[in-house]
Amino acid sequence: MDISIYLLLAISVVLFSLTSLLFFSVIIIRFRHRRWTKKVKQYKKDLLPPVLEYLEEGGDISNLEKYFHNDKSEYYAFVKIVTNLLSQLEGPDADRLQELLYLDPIFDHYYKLLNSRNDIDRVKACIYFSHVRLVNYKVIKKLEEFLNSSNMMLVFSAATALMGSEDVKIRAEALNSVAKMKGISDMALLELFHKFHSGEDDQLESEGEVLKEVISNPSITPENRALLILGVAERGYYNMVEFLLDKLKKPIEIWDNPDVLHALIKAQGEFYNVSSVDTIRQYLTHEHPKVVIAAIEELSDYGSEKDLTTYHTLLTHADNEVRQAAVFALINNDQNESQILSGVPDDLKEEIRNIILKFKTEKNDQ
Amino acid sequence: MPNEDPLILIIEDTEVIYELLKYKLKKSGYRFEHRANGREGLEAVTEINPDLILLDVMLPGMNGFEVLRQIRENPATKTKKVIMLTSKNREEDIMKGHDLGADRYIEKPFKPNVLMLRIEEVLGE
Repeated sequence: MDISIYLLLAISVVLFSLTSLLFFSVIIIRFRHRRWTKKVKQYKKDLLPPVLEYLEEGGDISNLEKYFHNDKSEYYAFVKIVTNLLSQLEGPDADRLQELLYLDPIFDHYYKLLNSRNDIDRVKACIYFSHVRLVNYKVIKKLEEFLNSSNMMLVFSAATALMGSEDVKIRAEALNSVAKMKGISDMALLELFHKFHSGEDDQLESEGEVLKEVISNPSITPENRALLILGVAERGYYNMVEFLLDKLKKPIEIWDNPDVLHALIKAQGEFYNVSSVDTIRQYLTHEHPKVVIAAIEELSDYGSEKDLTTYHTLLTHADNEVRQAAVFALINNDQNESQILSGVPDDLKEEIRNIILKFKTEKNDQ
Repeated sequence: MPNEDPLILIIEDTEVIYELLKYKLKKSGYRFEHRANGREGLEAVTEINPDLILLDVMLPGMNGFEVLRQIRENPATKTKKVIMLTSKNREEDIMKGHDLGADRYIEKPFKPNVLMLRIEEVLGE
């Protein structure tokens, strides 16, 4: 037989084997997943009544341990029940539920996963530890180690768990690690930032102090720095007002970035800091449209009559969105259509008229 | 002989919450029925004629506000007592529920014993 036929046969056998392997792997994975889901469902059904009974009747917490049979799907089901209930309940019942997460078999299982070499197991452990009070020194150290991982999911999960720490510096380090990551989504970073706050308003000052360091870290991407600045303002860290205003006054190095400047300007508006008006005014002539728009929007609310001339000048700005912001600012400052259109070149008049119309329609709709 | 225990309709899709409510209601001697989505819940209101409805806002199929609106629009069910389970810090939910005529609101996360007190209160009115 020709060698090429042997070769063709060999290739066919290899391809057939690979296809079969793939086919059986999929079947096995699906089977295992189905078995896991079925087991978890059954465990949930078995474990929920004793949990509810404990909640209602009290009694010795360790009595619940007899329901465990050293099965990881059982631990998973139990934690799921408790955390689902915790997300819906508060008061003494929630406190008692919280205690269930410290049952020895549960804690030991997740502590073992935390020390595993497998990142998926580690993430599972992080999720568990994000629901318990972080008092165990070894657990905290391990979670801190994960902050240096190259696995984004692991870093984020560890950082989320560390947000349960009472030590503001540990929480700041966790936030810092995530903010440094390129590719982390805005939503994920904001979620973490939201968890950074301990919930106690008397902590805002100390949290603000460490946030100054996080936001000033040169390793953080400009987009994440901007996001954190906006978060700080929305959350009301008032001890950061002057710090952020100083950066706006002298924007050197990491602060001299359109996204960051935009956030710094918006933050002053969010803080209602009227004393920032003169500084913001300088940005009406900034080279980047995003910065100019932020300046117009803030001055439109807090500026004075002398800004009207600048808004008129900006009606001929090369960027359409800047022109639009200028029109809105003029209307916001009680300028009528003929006042706005005076001095506007003929070729732009129709566009400006349309923006005025759009603004009025939006206002009427509100 | 007719059963005198009040009948409560739970319209709630979160399994653990339903199980918790079931446990509590059973212990307090109430009868109950459960539906896990808005549309079925609305149908059950006319079918089983409950004394009180525990209605979650976030439901699949039809949200709790729409269920409440339709309960209030139907002459046969408009006087039904309804306790709404809303999310905390969602003032607009409470305002909306109030406009639609809910009898009470319980904000999640909630204290189960407070909910039981509200149930007693509303049934006693």
